Amino acid sequence: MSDEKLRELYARATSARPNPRRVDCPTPEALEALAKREGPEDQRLATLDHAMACADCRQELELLRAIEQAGRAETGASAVHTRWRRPIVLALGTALAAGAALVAVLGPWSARQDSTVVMRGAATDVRLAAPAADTVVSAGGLTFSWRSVPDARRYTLEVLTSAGAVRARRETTDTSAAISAAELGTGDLRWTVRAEMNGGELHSPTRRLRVSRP
Amino acid sequence: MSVPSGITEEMSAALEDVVSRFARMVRSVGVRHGLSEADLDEVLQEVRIRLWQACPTSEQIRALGTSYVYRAAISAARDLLRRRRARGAALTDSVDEHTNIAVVTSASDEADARDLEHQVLGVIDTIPLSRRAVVRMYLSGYERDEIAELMGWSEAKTRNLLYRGLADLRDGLTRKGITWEGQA
Repeated sequence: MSDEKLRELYARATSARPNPRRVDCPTPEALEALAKREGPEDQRLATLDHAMACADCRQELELLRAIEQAGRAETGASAVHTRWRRPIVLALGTALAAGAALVAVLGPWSARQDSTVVMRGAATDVRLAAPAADTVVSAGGLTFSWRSVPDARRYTLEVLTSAGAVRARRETTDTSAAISAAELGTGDLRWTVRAEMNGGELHSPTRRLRVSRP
Repeated sequence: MSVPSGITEEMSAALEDVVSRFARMVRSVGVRHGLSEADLDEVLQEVRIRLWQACPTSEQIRALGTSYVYRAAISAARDLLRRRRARGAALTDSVDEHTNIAVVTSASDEADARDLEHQVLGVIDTIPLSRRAVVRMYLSGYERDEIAELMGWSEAKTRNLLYRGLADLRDGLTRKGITWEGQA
C-alpha cells in the first residue's frame, strides 16, 4: 500500500463515521485554542487527535486555522510594509491612528538597526542582520532581518523559547519579517532563519534575544 | 457580494476593500484542505456586519487595522460553530471533499475495504498521543511544515515525531500482515 492509498483509506474511514450529535467532540473554544496555539500542549494534542479523526471537527478546525493563519500573515505583512513606507508616511503627515501607532512601535527598531553589528557565519550560512545578538527588548514588536541567499526560494524565520518550542514563525520570500509584541511575549528567546533552495537548505546561526517588558 | 442593507455605496466599497483582502488570505491558506466556501462566506458576511456596526463612516472602516478584522473573523467563526452545533447541524461539506475517495464496486470489495479501514484505525489508536495526532494530521493530507505551524513546534521536533509515528504505524500494520511502502 502506498502513502496515497493510505491517505485515501484514512479519508474514507474518517468520513464514514458521522457523529451528528457531536458526542465527545471538543468545544469550539478548544478548536480555537488549537488554531491559536494557546493552552497546554497535551490538551491541544488531544484536540488535534480528535479533530483529525472526526470530519466535522476537522472542517471546523480548518475554518479557524485558515482565519488564524491569514490574520497572522496579514498582521506581519502589514507591519513590514509600514516599516519601509515610514519616511513617506511621515512626509505626508498622515493622521491615520493605526498607521501612526505602528510607526511609533517600529520607529525605535529602525533606528537601532542602523548600528547593528552583523554576525557572520560560515560563507554558506544564512547571515543574520538584525536584531543584534543578546538584544534586550522592552517595548513593541520586532523586525528581524537577514542577508539574501542566492537562489533561495523562501526563508523561514523561527523564534524559539529557551525550551526549544516555537514562539513565532514566518515564511517569506523577503529578507525581513515582523513579529508583534503580543506574539513575541516575554522571556529568553532565540531566533534562526532557514533558506530553502531547490537543492536543499541553509541555516543561520542561532541568536539570543531577551524580551523584558515593564 | 451582499452587504448589510441600508448602507451607502461608499461604505459598501470600504467594507469590501477591507474584507476582500482578508478573505483572499484565508482562501489561500484553507483551499488545500477543503475549506468550505459557504462557511467562509457566512463568516465574512458576519464580519461585514460587525465592522459596519462598529464604524459609522467609510473612513473609519478603511482605517481599521488588520488585527481588528482578524479578531472579528475569529469571533464570527466561533459564533457560527456554536450556532450550528446548537442546531445539531454539521458545517457544509466542501465541494471536493469526497472527490478523492475510491469507488468500491461490489459488496465483497466494500466489506474488505471496511475491514482494512478498521484494522488501520485500530493500529493508529495504539500509537502514543503525541505521535498519533501527528500521524492523523499527516494522513489527513497536511504536510510537515503545516503540522509544525499548527502545534508551534520546531521543524526538527515535528520531523522526529512524524517519523517515529509513521514507524509505529508501519510496525503495527506489518504485524497485521498489511504492507505499507510509505515514508516511515
